[in-house]
Amino acid sequence: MELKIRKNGEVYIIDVNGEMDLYNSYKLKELVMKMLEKNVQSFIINLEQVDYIDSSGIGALIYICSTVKKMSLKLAITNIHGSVKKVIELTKLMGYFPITNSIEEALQQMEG
Amino acid sequence: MNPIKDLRADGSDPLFDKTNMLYKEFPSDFRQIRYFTLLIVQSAPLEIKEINLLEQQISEIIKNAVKHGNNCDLNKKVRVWYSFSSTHAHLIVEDEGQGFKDLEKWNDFNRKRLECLYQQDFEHLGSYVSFRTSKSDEQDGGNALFAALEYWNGGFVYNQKRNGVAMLKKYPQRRHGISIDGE
Amino acid sequence: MVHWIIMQTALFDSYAIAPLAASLLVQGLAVFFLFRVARNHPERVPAPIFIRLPVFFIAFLAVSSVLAILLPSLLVYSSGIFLASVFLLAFCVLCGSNSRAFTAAPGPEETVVAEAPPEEPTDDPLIAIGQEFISRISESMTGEINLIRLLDFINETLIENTSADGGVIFLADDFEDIITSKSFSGKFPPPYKLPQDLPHKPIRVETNLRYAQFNLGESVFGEVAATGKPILIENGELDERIETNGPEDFLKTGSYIFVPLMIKDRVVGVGGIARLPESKPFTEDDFRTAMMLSKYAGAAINNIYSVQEILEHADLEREASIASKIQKTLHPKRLPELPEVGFGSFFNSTKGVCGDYYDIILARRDRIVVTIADVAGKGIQSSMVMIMLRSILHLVTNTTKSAGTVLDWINKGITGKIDMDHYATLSFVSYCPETRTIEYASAGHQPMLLWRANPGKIETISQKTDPIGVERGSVYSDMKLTVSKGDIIILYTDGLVESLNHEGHQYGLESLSRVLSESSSMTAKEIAAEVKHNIQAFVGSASLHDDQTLVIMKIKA
Repeated sequence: MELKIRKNGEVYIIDVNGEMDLYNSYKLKELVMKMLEKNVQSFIINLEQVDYIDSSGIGALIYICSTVKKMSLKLAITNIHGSVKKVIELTKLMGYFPITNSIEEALQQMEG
Repeated sequence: MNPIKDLRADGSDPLFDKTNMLYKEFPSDFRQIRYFTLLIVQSAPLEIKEINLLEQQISEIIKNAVKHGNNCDLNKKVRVWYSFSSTHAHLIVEDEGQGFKDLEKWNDFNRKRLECLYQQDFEHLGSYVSFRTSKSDEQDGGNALFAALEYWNGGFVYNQKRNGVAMLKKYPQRRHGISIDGE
Repeated sequence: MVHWIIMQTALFDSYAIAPLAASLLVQGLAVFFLFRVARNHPERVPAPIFIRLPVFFIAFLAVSSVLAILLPSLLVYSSGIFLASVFLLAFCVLCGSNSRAFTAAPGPEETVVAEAPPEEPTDDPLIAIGQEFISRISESMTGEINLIRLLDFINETLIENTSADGGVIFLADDFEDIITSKSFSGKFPPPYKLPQDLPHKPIRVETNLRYAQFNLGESVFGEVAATGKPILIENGELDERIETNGPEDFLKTGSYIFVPLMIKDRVVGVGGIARLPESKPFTEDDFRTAMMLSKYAGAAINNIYSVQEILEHADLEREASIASKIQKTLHPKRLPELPEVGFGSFFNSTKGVCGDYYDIILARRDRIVVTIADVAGKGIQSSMVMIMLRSILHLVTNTTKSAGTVLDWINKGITGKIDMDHYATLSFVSYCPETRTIEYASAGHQPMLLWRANPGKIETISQKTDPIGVERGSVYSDMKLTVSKGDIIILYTDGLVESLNHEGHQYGLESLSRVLSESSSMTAKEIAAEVKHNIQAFVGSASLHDDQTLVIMKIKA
């Protein structure tokens, strides 16, 4: 799994590439925590290149979401598809996660 | 509203019938969980794999057996019976552990979780997204069983000792569009 | 004056007048035929100018001929020829430079020809659209099947032919009873209740509609999906089926038409078109047009689905057959014949799996290497791993490295190198005939069986090691054994010992050992044949789930 960071204005976009499984999901958690330490205020986690996620990956996303909520920061998770979307649906967390269908939508939400 | 699904233990459930199932056993090696899963799911026809959803669901069950059932003890085995067709996936996974002691607690937790969901109460849902026991660690998602209860629509049941679980997934025939007869 | 009379008399006398008079006749005939062509075959005459120039040419020739008779002066005559030639030149120049004028610029005569068919009935434009649908389908199928492009086209066509202000197409999901928005264009006031927290800005509302999803029966779209019945709504504000959002102007609902897209009696999608409140509402005619177009659309979508299914199936077949071909290519064509050892093998691959690999490598002069592997997964992916395995093996066996190191190199060469499933079990046996020693290393593979001629018993040699591909740091070590004449080394894959019969019993290691013990005096080839018959008798007609592989090496000297 690879993690790349880019910026769009004040918003940081994390592009996740590969599989988020029980062996590597902690990396995303660690990266976000590091960014929080650097006072990043708005995140978009882009899962367009992710085609596999298990409960560890979901757990990492939950941890990130709850932390961000506590700190009243902005977060969006975008471009979920295929089995990733199915897994999130199975856990019924579609409403819990701040999911948008595209990065554009997420950016619009963060401005408005 | 769907009936609230519970985890139940019933060793006499027909899902534990092992006839005509393939069999493999593995040492409880945490590093090889995805490899073992692959060995099992490679026998499944492509159309039921849903890309990799079936693999992912099976890996959760094996992970539970390896990690929570056998404590990653290489000397302890995980035994898997499996059978696939284009319309079903049937699995039985047994470990050598003491069994899922917190089963009732899990059911309580899940009930509260589903209530929050039903009422769209996302604030409180935050406390019910991950099931943790004293034995859970940082990496545990605590979500595997929530998804499993939803996924294995033909039944998901533990044996009497709760160290074995049988599950069945039934797949609808793929068809295009929605039937309007009978509406 | 006198010259003239003399010249005229001379003309008459010399009979030179005859050709002149004849040429007048010819020129007259030429003009006659020229006009005949122009009148009867106007399509052959590119432009009026092409008539006029020849006419002038001939006219000048005629005039000069007449003048030559009346005023028999060579000057007059030759001047006339000169002017006529100028017209001829102009005509030729025009021919060359205006060749485009041949095909373009129809004269007024042309349109008369084209008007031949009588008045068309009003349905014809839709037939033409139907034809375009069909040709668009073929377009969508070159390269990759693009259902979304087709939906965009359907959307545009609906909008155009009903003069709508906007349109949206929903597609039904393959497995669940939900419809998802897949194509959107123009201005479409949402006819469903927007989420509470959605700000009422045009861009936000549009995005919401672009990604909207409804269950059966939910919102007017879901209703059409559930009933399969089209709906015409003349005034959204007054119709109870339309939810109004407000109070902003751009959210005010006008008129709508909703049509189901059907394949036989199944709803595969829903199309919606809208007119803003300021435009005139849709009419019954528009409704009929939309319904007719939706039938074409349903047929077009059906075509794409059918082709998709065929391609998917063909894809799977092809992938399985490619994997099988690769596997066959990688296997040894012939077992070597050596004085020191004899070889035997039995191999049976299962369609769609093709994961087993075995090889006998005589890379070094003093070593014979036998290896067997079982690649996890199936299809092209496992073929790739098999190719990588074989390449590294053939390279490494040329060195003097021990069996354990060989596995270590193979593991490091594969783990973490490719972004897909890359696991394999592997057994590696290296035999030195001079010293009669065997080096054995295994990566998570089935145990090796070793028949000792003395005392006539089977030993099981195994190691507890990781398969290839689990971790770069996996540790592999070798075991050294000495063998003597008559000893037999047996390698196999789990597909062999786990073969099931009709009752669901496995063939098992015991059966294999038994057959080996009983046939231990035979040659390696014969032993392999014995095992083959024994297994086939056991399995009977039950189907196999995995490749079966067996490799035997018997020490002859």
